[in-house]
Amino acid sequence: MTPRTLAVLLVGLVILAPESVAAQEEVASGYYKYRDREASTGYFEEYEVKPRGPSPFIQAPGVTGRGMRYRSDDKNVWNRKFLADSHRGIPFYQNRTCESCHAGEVRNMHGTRVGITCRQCHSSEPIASINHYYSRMNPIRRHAYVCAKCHEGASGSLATYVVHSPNPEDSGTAEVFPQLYYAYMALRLLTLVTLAVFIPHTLLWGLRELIAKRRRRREDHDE
Amino acid sequence: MSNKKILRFTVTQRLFHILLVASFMIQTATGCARLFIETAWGRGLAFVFGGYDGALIVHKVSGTFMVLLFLCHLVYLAVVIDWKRFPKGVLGPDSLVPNLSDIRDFFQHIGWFLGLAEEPKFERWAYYEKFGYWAVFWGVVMFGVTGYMLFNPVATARYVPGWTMNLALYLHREEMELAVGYLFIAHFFVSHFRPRRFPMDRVIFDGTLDYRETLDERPAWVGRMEKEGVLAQEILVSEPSRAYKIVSFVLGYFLVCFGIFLLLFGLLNIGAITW
Repeated sequence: MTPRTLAVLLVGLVILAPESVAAQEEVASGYYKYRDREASTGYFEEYEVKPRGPSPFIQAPGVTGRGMRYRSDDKNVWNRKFLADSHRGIPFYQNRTCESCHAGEVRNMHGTRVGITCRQCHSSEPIASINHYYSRMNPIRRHAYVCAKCHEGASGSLATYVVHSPNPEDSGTAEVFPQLYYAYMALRLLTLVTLAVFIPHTLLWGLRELIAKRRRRREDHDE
Repeated sequence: MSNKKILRFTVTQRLFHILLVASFMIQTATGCARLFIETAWGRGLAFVFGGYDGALIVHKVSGTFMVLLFLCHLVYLAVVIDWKRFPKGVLGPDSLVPNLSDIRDFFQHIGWFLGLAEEPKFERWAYYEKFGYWAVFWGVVMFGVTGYMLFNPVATARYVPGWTMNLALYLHREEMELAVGYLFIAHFFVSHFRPRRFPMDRVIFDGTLDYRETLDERPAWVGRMEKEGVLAQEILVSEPSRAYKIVSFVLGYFLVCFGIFLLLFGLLNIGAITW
């Protein structure tokens, strides 16, 4: 190929080839960069920043700082809340179902009432931990990648709704969701006190009137 | 005088009550339909209202109606209060505002149940009626606030954190248990099933009370009206027509039976609630 032919080809290429678009490059590079996690977490752009701390006004219960919380008694335990594959290393994982380990979590209104399956929110394998940096369930993007699929316009605030809400009647709820526990228990106490006063009150009243009525009838009969 | 009736509730007051009852019954039925949707009973209830989603729409409409009714009642109160005699007027015996004599009446009433005291001489409004009246204020506010939080979760989350809807959901349900427990047990029995009132107290439908029965149960009120001379002039009215009595009896029993039906099947299926 002569230099002249090469120059014509290059000019032709410049004129005819489509203009390069930055986004296409980012998509391509991003896809390859996170391909190993793509199936789990969806696609994430290169320009993503690290998650910020929670808003001082809107906070998820039990989550402080960046959501990293280690207890003294389990500091040596692999914290599965931050893994790219949350089920990594679990024996016989392929033969298990979600319910076999997460029976309590399966009983939630999204599942029982609307028929949403676990994977519709938590994605297919490998399922990233909810607090993993690239997880779709990470609080920085949960509202957009998960909640907004059904709740159009969902905000980060909405995503703090606890889908797997603990039973407010369980004493353990006081630790994990104290607002729910104490608000519910206050109203439960009011209900119990009201019914404990008015049900015996009603029964005694009925009984007393019945006795009075019979006594009056007997007196009328004697007269 | 024995054929005469004492006017206890005006037409407006009776209208407020019947609309409140209708909206509460619809809300209880649609709420039970959704709460018990996993059971055959819940699905049957939901079917009447167009299924699980249809029941929610009816629930929201009737809930909004109840809140509007409550606001209308506040306007009504603002109109009927004698502002010239305020606050003395609203603390008098014709008022539903609780006072110390209600506490005394309560304990005396308990004493009478146990055979330890005389039956209290009730005024126009007894302590249990005042409790029922103010309980509606509490209930509508609780149902209204938690209900509107859940009405549109996306919009609510713009103003309050999303996790507050976890609270709203459970408080809405617990408030239902309180309201249904009180109304369908205590209120129904006291109003319709205790020996003095059995088979039905139609006062809330036809607005009138029998003179002799009122003298027996509320001697303080009748005595005060006779002393003030207002009984013969303004309060005594003719007996309602037979047709009106029959309609109010049928309607009243339909509502009572429907309420007991909801309570009974709710209790039978309470173990099947999944949240």
